[in-house]
Amino acid sequence: MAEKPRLFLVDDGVHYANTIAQHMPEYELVQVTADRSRAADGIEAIDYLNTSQQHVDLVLLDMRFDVSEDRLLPLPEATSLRRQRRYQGIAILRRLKAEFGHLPVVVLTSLADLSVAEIAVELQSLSLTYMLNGDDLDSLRIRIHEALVDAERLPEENGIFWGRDQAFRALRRRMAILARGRLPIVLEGETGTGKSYLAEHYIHERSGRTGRFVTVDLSTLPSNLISAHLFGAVKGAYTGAVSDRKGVFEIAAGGTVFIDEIQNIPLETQKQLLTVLQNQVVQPLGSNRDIPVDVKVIVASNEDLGSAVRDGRFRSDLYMRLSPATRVVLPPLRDRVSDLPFLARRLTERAGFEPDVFPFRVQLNRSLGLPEDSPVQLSLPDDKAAKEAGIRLVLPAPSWRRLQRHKWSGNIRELSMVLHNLVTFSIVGAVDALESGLSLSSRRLQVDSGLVNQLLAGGLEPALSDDKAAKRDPDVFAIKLKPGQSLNAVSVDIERQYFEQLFDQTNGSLDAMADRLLGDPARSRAIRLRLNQLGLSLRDLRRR
Amino acid sequence: MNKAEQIELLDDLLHDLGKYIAFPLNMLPSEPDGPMFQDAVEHALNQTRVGAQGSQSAKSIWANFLNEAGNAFDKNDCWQPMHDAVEAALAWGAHLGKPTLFISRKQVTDDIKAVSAAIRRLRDQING
Repeated sequence: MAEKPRLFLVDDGVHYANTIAQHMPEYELVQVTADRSRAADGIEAIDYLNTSQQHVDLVLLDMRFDVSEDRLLPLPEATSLRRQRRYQGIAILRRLKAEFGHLPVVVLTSLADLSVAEIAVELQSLSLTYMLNGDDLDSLRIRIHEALVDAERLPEENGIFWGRDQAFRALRRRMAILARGRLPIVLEGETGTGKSYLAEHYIHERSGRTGRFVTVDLSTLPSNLISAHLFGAVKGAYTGAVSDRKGVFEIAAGGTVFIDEIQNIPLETQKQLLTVLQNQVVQPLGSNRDIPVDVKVIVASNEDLGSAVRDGRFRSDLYMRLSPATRVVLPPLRDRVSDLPFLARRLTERAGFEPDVFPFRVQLNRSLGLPEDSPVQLSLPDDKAAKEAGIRLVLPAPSWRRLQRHKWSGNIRELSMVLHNLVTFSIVGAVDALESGLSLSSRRLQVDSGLVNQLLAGGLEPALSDDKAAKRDPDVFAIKLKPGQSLNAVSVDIERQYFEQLFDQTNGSLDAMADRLLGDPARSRAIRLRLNQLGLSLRDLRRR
Repeated sequence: MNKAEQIELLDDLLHDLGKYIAFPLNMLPSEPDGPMFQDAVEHALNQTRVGAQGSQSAKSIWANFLNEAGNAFDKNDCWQPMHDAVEAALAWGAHLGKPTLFISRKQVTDDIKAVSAAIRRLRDQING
């Protein structure tokens, strides 16, 4: 029989301890002292968790602690001793999240009981933190169960980084429910938040549909061809329609149509789309024939469609048909800061398996006496016990703070690119050193702070927003994005443009480029290797 | 007593009395037997708060509150209903150990659970 989940109760009163002991035999309360199955205050709780070897699955935390002043953890915003006691749970929760962030916490109060709105907002935004819906046994049972299930759930699933952020994980439940329904789904979120990936690899896969998943990116289609692309056309329907063609609604029969950048749909096509959604039939251009269609429709937009309706760019009847009730707003990365460590580690590991890095990583592993398939791992400043499974990139604390403070306007896509480059330069730099005759004895490679600064300074934000700035500031480059490419192709294309411009700016000096990017002019070989990987030949660059 | 102090006082009462007088009944399974219900009511009224400060009954929490509040709330419309709600809940203390308690269990439960809502109404009135 499986062991009972162990609950660690932090409460100055006996009521919850008695209730759990009496009515919840499926759980075991952690015995904190010989005569108490609860920690009576925050100090005792933190001490216990730091020193005890006993396993804890979940923390149950009271909010108010009527204990002596010397047993209270500091709560700076509380203006009186009374308030220190009333909201002491917040001070304890902050310590728990800072030191034991992996532990789920059920706060033994409901939002209605919190008279300070800011505290309620803070509680709701913390990962793996749950509040009761009411002061009854069922609320307590449901929350404990939910928290334990969430904590066990892997933060990554089929390439989707759910992380531990509570708001983002709540979207998973919502999308899983919406996937099975008949209503269209609206995904909104900034660029790089993963809308198209989630549509294909989460919603479509859970829809129970056996037909194809077909994507239409409206930002890549000429507006006069959108209708034909969506609904099909018969031969001669327009200039260049030399044969009948099926629209995506027909191609995706029994499956899913994903319409990306829906805000770009012309007004006249919006009416046609509305008809399709209402009647479940399409009429190809130039035809009077109705073709029944059975598809799940997912649309995505990187702007709020509600505001597009207000601006008159989007029909309100289509907006209502797309069902604002099924709108899912994907949070930007800057709102998922608690997930940043997990994401940084996973994306670093993933970068080590990218085709352009893979051979260098294998070469480095071999030189260091590691198995060839050992991964590249990222060590963050707060890692207590780093595992020595493979090559470790050690990120200095200032660089980690810089990553945490960064706005990430390109979201996970931007983070992925930065880490990809970080891994590439670090690994290639180490290989370069080995080939130059240096011997490396450590598997730990210190990440160059200058490189992190360069990668972040050369990020998407200024370059995309201000072309003129690129001419003024040598650290700002103008990048032109070509829509419709795969994520990997976009990433490579951006990096290629970056290198081309840096090449021009340094008058073709690889030493100067190495100095700018790696803080060491002697590492020009790493630059040369990267240029080769990007398909940029020195001869072509000089000839331009 | 100014408005902020009144709110503070009522927040304390809401927690100490409102939450914990109802707690043992809230945590009962849906079909409690007689002894289980009797035990819950006894805990609700006589061991309302048990913690580092020892054990306090609902009656003593209420008395302490009245002592501290004085006549601060007399002019509020919701004061008398709150006062009555608390007294009605406390009155069930006289039935402890008697069969009438279980026979009237719905009324007992309603009266005890009504305390929190009555305090909240007064708090909301003062808070505007």
